Amino acid sequence: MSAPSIGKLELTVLLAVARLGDEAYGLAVRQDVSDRTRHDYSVGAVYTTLQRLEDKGFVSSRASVPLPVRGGRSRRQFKLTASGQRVLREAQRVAASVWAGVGTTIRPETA
Amino acid sequence: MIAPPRIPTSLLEGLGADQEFRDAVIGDLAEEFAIRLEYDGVDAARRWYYREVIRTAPHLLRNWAWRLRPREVARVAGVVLASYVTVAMIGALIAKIVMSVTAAFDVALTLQRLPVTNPIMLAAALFLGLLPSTFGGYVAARFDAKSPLISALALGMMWASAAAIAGAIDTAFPMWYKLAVLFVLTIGTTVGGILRVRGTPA
Repeated sequence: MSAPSIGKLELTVLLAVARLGDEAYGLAVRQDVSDRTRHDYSVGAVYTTLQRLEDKGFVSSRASVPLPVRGGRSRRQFKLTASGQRVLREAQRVAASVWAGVGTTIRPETA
Repeated sequence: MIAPPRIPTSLLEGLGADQEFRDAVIGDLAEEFAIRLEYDGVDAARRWYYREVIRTAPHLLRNWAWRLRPREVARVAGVVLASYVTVAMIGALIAKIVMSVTAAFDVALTLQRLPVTNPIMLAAALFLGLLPSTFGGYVAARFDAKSPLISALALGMMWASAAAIAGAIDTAFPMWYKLAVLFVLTIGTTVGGILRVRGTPA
């Protein structure tokens, strides 16, 4: 059976989870993704993506203790699974392969 | 500490999404609201919150729809039917009381003499129609603790569909009235559902 595929936003969110480590929860992931892509993703969009990544087995989640600042709700903290690490390595390999040799042919963007 | 606006939060809670997903989303919204409150002030934080709720609501609805199973559909259908029967019974009872009271003053007789297509009568009927539809939405949301707004919206859609079929058959009423009835029914039930979830503690 082939491994589940991964979309562009899924990959971006998965990389944010990997980068944030123990601090990977919705708000931090959203800020990281929005800062890096310069696109203001909604809270719902990020959670839908995180949910999809969890369904595919690329991340796992657990609830923190309830926090007053969240109206007594818990944070849902995400962690990269072994399967998630594999898919990131594969994405990195593919990206390096398809970008190989392109660098010198792209001119810097002029203002 | 200033809490996030309650009504939009209740709206998100009423959309029937999985509790874990819903709590994570609403918790993040509350946490970011607190941060924005500190840096941007109350008005900007509230504006951001309303905008973010509008952008996030479709994701919660989608979460509900993805988990939809025949059992859940049957449950919502049962709630819609029960609320419709409740509203119809209470409506019939109120109509009977009103008729018997007005009969004593010949008001009913005067009203019956007016043509049914009189625009003032139709506008009054639309205005009065808001009451049962709002009440219906409230009852549907009251009957459904799991996804109150979904049931209120489903009642509105069922009611509007029935009105559309009746409107297609009936030729006595003008088109604007038939369209306004659909609007009144869906808006009324939605408002009723919101009134219910607004009053429910999280």
